[in-house]
Amino acid sequence: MAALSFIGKPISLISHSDVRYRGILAGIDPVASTIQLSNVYSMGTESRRPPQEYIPPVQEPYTYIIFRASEVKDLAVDEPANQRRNVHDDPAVIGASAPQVAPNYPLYGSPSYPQQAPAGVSPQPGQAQVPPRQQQQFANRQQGQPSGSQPGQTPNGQTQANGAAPPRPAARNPSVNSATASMETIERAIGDLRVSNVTTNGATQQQRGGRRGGGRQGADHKASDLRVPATDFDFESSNARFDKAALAPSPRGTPKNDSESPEGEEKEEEKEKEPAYNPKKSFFDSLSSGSNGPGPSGGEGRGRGGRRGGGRNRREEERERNVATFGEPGGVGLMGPGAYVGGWGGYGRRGGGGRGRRGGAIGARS
Amino acid sequence: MAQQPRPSSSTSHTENWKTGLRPPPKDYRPQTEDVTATKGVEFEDMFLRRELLMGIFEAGFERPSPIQEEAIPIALTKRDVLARAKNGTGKTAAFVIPSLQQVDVSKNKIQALLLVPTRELALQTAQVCKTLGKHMGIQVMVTTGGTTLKDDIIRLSEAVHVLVGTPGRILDLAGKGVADLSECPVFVMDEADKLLSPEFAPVMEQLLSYLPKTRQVMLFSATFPMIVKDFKEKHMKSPYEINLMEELTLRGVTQYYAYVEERQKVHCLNTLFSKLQINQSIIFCNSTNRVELLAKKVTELGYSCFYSHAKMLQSHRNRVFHDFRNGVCRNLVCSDLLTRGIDIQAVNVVINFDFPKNAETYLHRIGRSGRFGHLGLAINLVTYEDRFNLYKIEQELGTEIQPIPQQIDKGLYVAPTGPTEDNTEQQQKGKAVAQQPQPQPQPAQRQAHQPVPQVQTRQQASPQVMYQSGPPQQRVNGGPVPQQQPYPNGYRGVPVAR
Repeated sequence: MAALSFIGKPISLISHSDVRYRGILAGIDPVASTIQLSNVYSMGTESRRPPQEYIPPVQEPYTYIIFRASEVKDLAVDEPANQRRNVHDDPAVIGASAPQVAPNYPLYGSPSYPQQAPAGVSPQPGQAQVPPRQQQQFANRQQGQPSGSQPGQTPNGQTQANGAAPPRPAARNPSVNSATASMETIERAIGDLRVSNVTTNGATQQQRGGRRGGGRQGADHKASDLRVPATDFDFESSNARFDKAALAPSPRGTPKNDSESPEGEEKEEEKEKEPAYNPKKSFFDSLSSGSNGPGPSGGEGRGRGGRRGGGRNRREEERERNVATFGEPGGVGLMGPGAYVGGWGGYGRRGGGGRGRRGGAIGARS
Repeated sequence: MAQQPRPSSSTSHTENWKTGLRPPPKDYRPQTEDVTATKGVEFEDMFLRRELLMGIFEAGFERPSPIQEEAIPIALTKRDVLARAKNGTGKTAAFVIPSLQQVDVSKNKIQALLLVPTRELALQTAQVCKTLGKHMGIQVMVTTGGTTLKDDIIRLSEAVHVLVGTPGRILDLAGKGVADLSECPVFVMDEADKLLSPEFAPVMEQLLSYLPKTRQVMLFSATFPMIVKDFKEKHMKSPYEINLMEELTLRGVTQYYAYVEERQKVHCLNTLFSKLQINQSIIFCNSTNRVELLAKKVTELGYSCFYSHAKMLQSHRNRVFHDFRNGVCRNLVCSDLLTRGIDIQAVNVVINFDFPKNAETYLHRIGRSGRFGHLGLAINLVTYEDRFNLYKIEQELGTEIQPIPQQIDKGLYVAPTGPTEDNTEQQQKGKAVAQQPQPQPQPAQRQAHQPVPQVQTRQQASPQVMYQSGPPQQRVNGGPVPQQQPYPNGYRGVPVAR
């Protein structure tokens, strides 16, 4: 998956409390819906919050911080250069749920965030809005700031924001769903990052452009990036990056998860036990379907768990996905439903053609 | 006459009736046990009317498929039936034949009500009724939403013996007193589980109230979730259950996944087009917008394609469906609108450009290929986000979706007769028939009858033509052009009137 190729890269992450963290992407745990950064500096709220809610940067880096994906508002690759971009495409790790990193979470950051009450639930609609972000400005600022309170500490910041910066995947969440949804969002964001980055190589500075989120501007990059390569798609190496077998046992079964995995996942597991269809026992089946499943057309990735909750609205999400896939969002307003009708394949021209075929057919066939 | 007479029930001179029949050319493609594992019953053994038998044979049916063998005799006893059989194994004819058999043509009343969940499926099913009932003088009417109600009302002033349609419109007509169902003894629900999903269920209940108490209720589908059980208990009288599914998926359909990133999907599809020997393909997307966006991309890549989704005008949907079926175009991009029931025998490849969210949808989608026990391929583009769905669906269906190999063995989805030699074959046939320029996609199928197995297809003109769907060709003919050709031979089959 795309995200994994960013492991080892410097990342800027902004939490819902508007605190920005800079660190090295150490891992993403889709199961627990967490993102882990190492060597993390808290940059404080910088200019994202009104002065009275200002949270200053912290001078000392944290060895590790684990963020709850649902609380992450924005994410960007932090360095213009892509020095390490190929670092790893580490396919092997993929489906596994990247646990290793986690175990050591010293979680320095966490202690300070006790409250995050209404947290997880906060909808992520906000995400889309986040302006393309200008981390550039801060890019090099690093930690040269006064040390002081820790990021999440400011009471205000935390409370009222839509939830605190959440280090700690811990277990307090009732909001598994939104967490799940946001995880996907994050993953997608990361995926997009790479796109923009690549573009950047040639085009220098807009590394951040492609970010999903607010950036409609991302569309351009994408569009151009979407040119279909002349070479064949390499199925083998692409499939090599995905370990289907790793999904099987128990996506959540990794040791470290025990303490923190969201419950949603477990339920899912249970259901899997009985075959959905056993003709010897019943004429009827229990296949997941449009009517019994999560959402109407299905919740996202996670099957039953995930009715992508109050998260961002579906349409917006689809538009973003469309941009990723096709280089344009599509949808009403642009072309309108049916706008292309008659277009493709030229069926328009069949004109009078087929009418009398009944008679003709018979004749022809004998 | 195509089929050798078999000394079955009919009397000797009766054999004559077959001589005048003109079934379509035989389809010699290999078939799996999904349709060949029969007990050996013949249509002639079923005590069907001569006229109906004529329609059956002329449609190219030779002998009943397993589900037909099981369901027809029971259905003829007027007992309620709950029948489960895999996708594309002949369910339609399994209920159409007994329904037609029970119609008294001299009586000017609706005597069979056949319900289906989509308009395209209604057209297709009605066509099967017309084809099979061709010699009976039976009046079949299709009615669906998206058309003018007035026309339906006018039509109903004339004789209609069999009414085929989607629930909403029929309820509308029945409610207005225009469609008189009071003496309709046969009530069939195809894709029954879909018709009993929350969106349709209330309509079905109301519809039933317009039928006589003594009606026969028959439900057919490949999937029967528990929700159907409630209906069964409430509205069916000791239904006879037929379940021919030991497993859910078709034996003839090989399933693969290709792991991709969202932005690589188009590239991946392009490569598939160039590598696969696509006779005809159906490509599924998860939303109408994506259907349009993809259709546009595919066209830009130089391949021809049609697209269809629920937000299009019905007339356009119909045309796309009709033309695609006739081989005007090789590829069809669509939403889940065409996930169920659609029977286009020339389709040998289904591509899930967007992986479906649930097992039921997946099962019905991939069932668009491998019709009537033939071989087919289902290729799924899977992203990181789809990973759990992939796992879930595999588990639920008890099947395995394997990573796509660098080279796909053509023997898995291209009929043996023609893989490499098709050219020759085509040429030969070409001569025999009027030839058509072959570039077009599939010539195949005509079969309007879906259930019809063997029948059709292979068509005369070009046997199943498997033109390479590869880029070159496609692109070449990719344009809109294919049409003409298809037409010439395109129609040679059962007329698809819609």
